[in-house]
Amino acid sequence: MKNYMFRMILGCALFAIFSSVSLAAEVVLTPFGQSPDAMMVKVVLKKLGVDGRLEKVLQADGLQDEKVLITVVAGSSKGLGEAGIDKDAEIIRMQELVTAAKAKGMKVLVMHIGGKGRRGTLTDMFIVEAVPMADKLIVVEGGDYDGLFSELVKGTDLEMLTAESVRGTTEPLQIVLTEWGIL
Amino acid sequence: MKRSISWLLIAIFWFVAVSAAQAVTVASTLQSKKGMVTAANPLAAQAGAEILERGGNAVDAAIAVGFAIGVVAPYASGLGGEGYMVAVMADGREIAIDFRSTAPALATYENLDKAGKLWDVKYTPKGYCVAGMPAGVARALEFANLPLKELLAPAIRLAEEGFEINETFAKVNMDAWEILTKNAPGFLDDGMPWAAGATFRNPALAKTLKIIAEKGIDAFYNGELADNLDRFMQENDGWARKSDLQAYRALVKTPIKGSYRGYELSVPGSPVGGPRILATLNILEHFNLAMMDWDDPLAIHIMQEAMILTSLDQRRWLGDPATNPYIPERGYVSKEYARQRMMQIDLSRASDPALWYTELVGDPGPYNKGESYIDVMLEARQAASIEGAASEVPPSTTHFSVVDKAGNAVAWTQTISAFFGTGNMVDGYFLNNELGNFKSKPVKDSPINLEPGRRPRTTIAPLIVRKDGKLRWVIGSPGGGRIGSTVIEILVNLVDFDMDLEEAIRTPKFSGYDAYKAIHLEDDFPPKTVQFLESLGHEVKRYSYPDLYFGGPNAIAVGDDGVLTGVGSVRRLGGAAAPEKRKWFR
Repeated sequence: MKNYMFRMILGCALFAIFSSVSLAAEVVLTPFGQSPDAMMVKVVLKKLGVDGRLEKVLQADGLQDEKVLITVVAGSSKGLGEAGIDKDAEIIRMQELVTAAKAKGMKVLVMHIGGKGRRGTLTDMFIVEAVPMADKLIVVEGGDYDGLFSELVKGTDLEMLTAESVRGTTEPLQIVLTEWGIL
Repeated sequence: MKRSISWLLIAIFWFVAVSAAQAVTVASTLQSKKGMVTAANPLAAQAGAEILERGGNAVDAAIAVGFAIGVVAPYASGLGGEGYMVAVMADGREIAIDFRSTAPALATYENLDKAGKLWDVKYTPKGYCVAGMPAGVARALEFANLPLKELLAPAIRLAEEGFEINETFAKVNMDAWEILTKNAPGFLDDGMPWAAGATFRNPALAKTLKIIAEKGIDAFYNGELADNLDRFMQENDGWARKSDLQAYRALVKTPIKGSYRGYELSVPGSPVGGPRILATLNILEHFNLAMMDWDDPLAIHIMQEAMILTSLDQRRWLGDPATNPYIPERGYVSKEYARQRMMQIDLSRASDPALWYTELVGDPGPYNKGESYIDVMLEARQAASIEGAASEVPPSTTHFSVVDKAGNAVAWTQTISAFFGTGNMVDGYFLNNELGNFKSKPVKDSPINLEPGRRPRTTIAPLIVRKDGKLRWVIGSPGGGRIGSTVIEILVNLVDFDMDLEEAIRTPKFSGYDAYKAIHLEDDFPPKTVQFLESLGHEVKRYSYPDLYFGGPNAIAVGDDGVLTGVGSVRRLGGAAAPEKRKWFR
């Protein structure tokens, strides 16, 4: 009987632990530029035990009770076309979304995970818009090959964390999400 | 004692052979008189140069590159793909090997209706057409010197030992990540895209290549590799069967010929993009482009309009000559027809895309027997019309060029259609998705209606250029719908704008293809050029510079002094490689 009770208590405790990690939708993700990269960050989050909600065209009124907004920046003409929006509308969407998120007390994490290959005219335009919105910034190293990100954070309080690859973003994500009380 | 001497001689031979294998020079741009190989990845170019070093000719080297590039750029081509080779040999022989894929017997409109739309099956095993690359190699071996086993060795080494992933690989992998998580999760780096700098190995492909090395190409079409594909298809609801592989044949043909301002061009015929290159240049020949420059909006306008006209005709009239009773290719590439087509170009205004598929489609048929444009036009034939919208062509594919010391030249383009093809892997290689190049629904008289055994039409266009019989350039590019425009622009840059090969390749590119209503162009054109094009009525869509969307030509120039200049693609991090000690093995 004692053994049974112990198992019950242990089970409830484990459920409570895991539900606090994976059931609470504390993180919401959206791409900035409509590339598929946000999906990759969702997979990385899952490896950390965080079940982020991904919404490709998340609007300000679509925010729920999340604590963190992660926006993964990279421009994709194909993605924008599929989403039925142009680059200007995408920038306005993000500005409104971040304003609403900050008004709700949410933290904003901007990520660029595509390295050098995901840089270009379209992406750079979104990067320039995105970085000043961030509370933290995570960049896969090749993405800052020309110092664009370094230049944008220079003279600000914004902390830029780097990783060698998409897989490597686990570490800085863990640091940031721990600091923000998600992990 | 005799035995010791024998062993010593063998050891010396291998030492020399191994030293020679390493004695090649590799760079993004290179000059040499000893032979030259350019490819989309320097490691593949190096593989070809090693074969030249070991006594192989240009065809040997091209075969080695074909296998090696399938290892180091598996997203663009490989055993599961297809392509076209054009060769001009030093003894005057001209060879075209058509190893385009064919639709499997079960790929019918009836079965497609049951499966959904063409787009629905494009990234499934049903999207696969019977691969021709290994069969193409088998035919190319007829013109080669070295045994297949030796030509496969560099590819096997790369697959086994691994190689460092470059930015192009990483970017393309990232773009295709979603489909790969579904279709080939084992290819990914623990579920994530491969990052630049990581080491990639493909033991499954190494094993497959070893089987081919030991048992020959027949293992792919009739042996255990065919059985493996058959099993995969049956287990995954695909259409290809072992019987399709057994029925496949690569075709040895003769390149079709054309000329541009005195240069002699050899290109592959239908169902690929060679005829369009000739047809476009025939039109451009009537304009004095040399009076302009690469960034002159009038030159861009003329080239854009010419390329639209020829792509409209290509779409309406050209297809697989083996399965279509009427392909008016001869008329399409005739100088007389070009005179009629040039009259369609309004120098002061862009053509209206709304009229492209009705009023602007021509009819090259009456020119098939060499008729003059005066006779034909006096009969005032009405233009034909075509049904269905133009389809987008993915930017995949790879091209490599080889010239050996003897002057044999090979232009070889191979592809698996979209990057990573269907996204499915069998025995370490990706399956092409060429089925997407057929009409999604049958259209009366269309040369690209889906039909078992038919080769789909694509845009690939390997090209060899001579002047007064002397080899001048070997050119080709990947880039889907931009292949034609990129190849044409490089040639115009070389001939009309007097650029060297590197400059001709580096110069920003623009598209000229009817699948796009706008001119797609790289960002480095002057703002006034863009403004002027817009004032002519062109919609302009800008891309960053350099962008791999515009292809990745890997080309070779031959100077009057015999110096070979190899230029690897700036847009896909290609490379050039040359043998260093070639004379040791002559």
